[in-house]
Amino acid sequence: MDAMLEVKQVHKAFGKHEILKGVDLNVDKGDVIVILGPSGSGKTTLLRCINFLERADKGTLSLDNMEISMKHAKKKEITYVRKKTSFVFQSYYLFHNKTALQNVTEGLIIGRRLPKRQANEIGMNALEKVGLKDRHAYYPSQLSGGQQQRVGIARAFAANPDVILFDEPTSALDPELVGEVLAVMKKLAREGTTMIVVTHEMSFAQSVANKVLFMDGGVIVESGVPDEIFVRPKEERTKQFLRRIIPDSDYVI
Amino acid sequence: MSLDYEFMKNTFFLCLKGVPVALNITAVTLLISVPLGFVIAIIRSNKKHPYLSKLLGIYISYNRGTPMIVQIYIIYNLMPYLIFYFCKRLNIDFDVYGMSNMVYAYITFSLCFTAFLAEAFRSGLGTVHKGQYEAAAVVGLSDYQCYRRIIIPQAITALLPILCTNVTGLIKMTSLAFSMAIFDITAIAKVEASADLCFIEAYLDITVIYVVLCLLVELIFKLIEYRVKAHRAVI
Amino acid sequence: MKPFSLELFFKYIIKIVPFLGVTMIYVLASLLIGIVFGFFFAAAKIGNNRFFKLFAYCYTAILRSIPSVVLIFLVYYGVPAIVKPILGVDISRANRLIFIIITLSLYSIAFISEIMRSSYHAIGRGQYEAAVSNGLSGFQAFYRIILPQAFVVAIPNLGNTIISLLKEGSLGFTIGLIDIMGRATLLNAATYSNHILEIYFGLAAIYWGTSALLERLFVYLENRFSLNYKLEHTADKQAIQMEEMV
Repeated sequence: MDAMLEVKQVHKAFGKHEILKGVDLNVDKGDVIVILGPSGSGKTTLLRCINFLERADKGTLSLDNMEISMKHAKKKEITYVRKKTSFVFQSYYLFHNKTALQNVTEGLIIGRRLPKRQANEIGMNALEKVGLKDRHAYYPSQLSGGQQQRVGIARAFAANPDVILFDEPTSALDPELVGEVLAVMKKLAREGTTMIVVTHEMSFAQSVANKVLFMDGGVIVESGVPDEIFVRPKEERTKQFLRRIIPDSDYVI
Repeated sequence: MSLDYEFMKNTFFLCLKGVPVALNITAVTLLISVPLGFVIAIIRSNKKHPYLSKLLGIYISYNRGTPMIVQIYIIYNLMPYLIFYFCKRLNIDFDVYGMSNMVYAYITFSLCFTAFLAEAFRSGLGTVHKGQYEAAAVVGLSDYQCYRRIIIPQAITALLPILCTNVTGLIKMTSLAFSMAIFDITAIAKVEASADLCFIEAYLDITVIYVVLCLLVELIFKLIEYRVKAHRAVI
Repeated sequence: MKPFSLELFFKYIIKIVPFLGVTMIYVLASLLIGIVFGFFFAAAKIGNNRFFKLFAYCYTAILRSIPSVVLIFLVYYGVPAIVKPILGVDISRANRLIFIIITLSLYSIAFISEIMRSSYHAIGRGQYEAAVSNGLSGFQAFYRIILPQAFVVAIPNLGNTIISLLKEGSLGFTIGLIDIMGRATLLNAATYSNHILEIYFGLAAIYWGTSALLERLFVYLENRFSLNYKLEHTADKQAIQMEEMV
């Protein structure tokens, strides 16, 4: 079975600093891929290159058997990719001047030209799924961080994309609010949504992911199912990283 | 359109003689306005003196809402009367009409500029978090120490760009000194231009002078900002 | 020493106020021109074209350094001199208002393009990224998300600009423009400077009043367009829901 989304040999440098040094990524439908790694390893840059928020220096992106050069992608191709993917930001980036419902429907009405009634219906269903149906008329400034991020997730899946990209979705949240966002993400994963998640939340990776990638220094150091990575890491760098993140007692030998 | 280049060259050097006058007015005004404006800004941000604050607010509103030239006309004509009146009352022997025009310039520009600076400093001080004042108080710092050691160093990054725009504004304001019979840059240009009827050339000359002056001021402030920031990077 | 006559003060105010119309014409005209062209200059400063960017930045830096007296005379003598060889028309006798509008427009383009640029940057790239990630085109993202927010941020600065234009325009009398300042000058000459204090205090009062009114107007506009207005003034959250569903 051909992978739904394939990234081949992506390179990206900022000035003299090379952040991505040749990364490959295969995503099948229904995959929940978690990318771990220390800061500066390139995980966020990888994600941002996939939906062209950053322009890679080298590499190809295949989406639904359509091959796109990541460096020379044309506007039409970029729009095609962005219509089939969604992005959830670390700082939520909700539109400050729109209500929660409007935030969710903006992309549907304006971007995908759905009729208003249909978009509102989809939007309300999405907000209900994240538990915020009664807050649909609230502006972002009236919502807590966790609520804002949940709206952000609703905005992402309302468009019914092939893949949802999550860039450290809970890193900017107070600890009490992390749980509610993770709950939504777990729900989505269980329903079969294809997700690529950059996160530090190990519980999410261990319980929901079906593939874990460890990145360091711009390359994928190790990849495998959660059990393999967390319980029996092969590479030394992976072991070092995990030692810092997970207390030793969690190790099973 | 042909320009009289000979005239331009001559006038340029003549107008340069006006630069020290302009800088003189600017310097004195700054000397008076910066401390005064600062004090007013502190009074207005503090909330300890509501009535004084309101009164100062009216003064500031007047100075920022009326054109400089109108203020000049009023003070230039009003001041002699006031001084004459007070001298008579207090029986001081003072030759009002012998007073130099520069003094009028100092007074007018200072009055106006203090108002602008007071507002500018107030917004600059506003960028410092209220908590800083509270922290200084509980640690036992006096008001003066608080401002000098805590607040002002933090406010400087916001204050410098505002100060820069205001100083260039002041230099441009000095061009109005010609209406007080002071031989600044603009006055010399007007005299020269009307003598030979070469208006465009004369005004092009002083445009260059003013632009160079203002750009120099901006450069100086950029350097100061750089120095201040470099100092902070150590933290 | 002559005492100040309050009666004359009010009498002169009444004589000068009718010319406020002329003043407001050039203020509003130059504001409009500044907004239209300032937009293009701001776009040049934000965009990628090096040549336009350099031109826009240089233009702003130079214009902000020229005093109004100087610019007014430069325009008054310079523009006819440039137009004559190109169009063959002598416009040196044209209505002084035109020269003032040209001068103030040159200023307002510089100021407003700077205001637009900084309020655009104040919004933050995140809003743009979220919009395009969500399926909006670059243009839609700008028009529906960035622009409304940047507009609210820019309002207080626009208010300051309009008051600046009001004050800089006062120097029009030096080329013979009859606005409130020009009228005051004429009245003063006609009374041989006997009532100079009453006239100029009256003029100052008019300027002060107009500035204060404009300031109030912009505070009102800022509140009206800000998010807080939307939050406070929609009686029912249900009402918004109804609005959305239709």
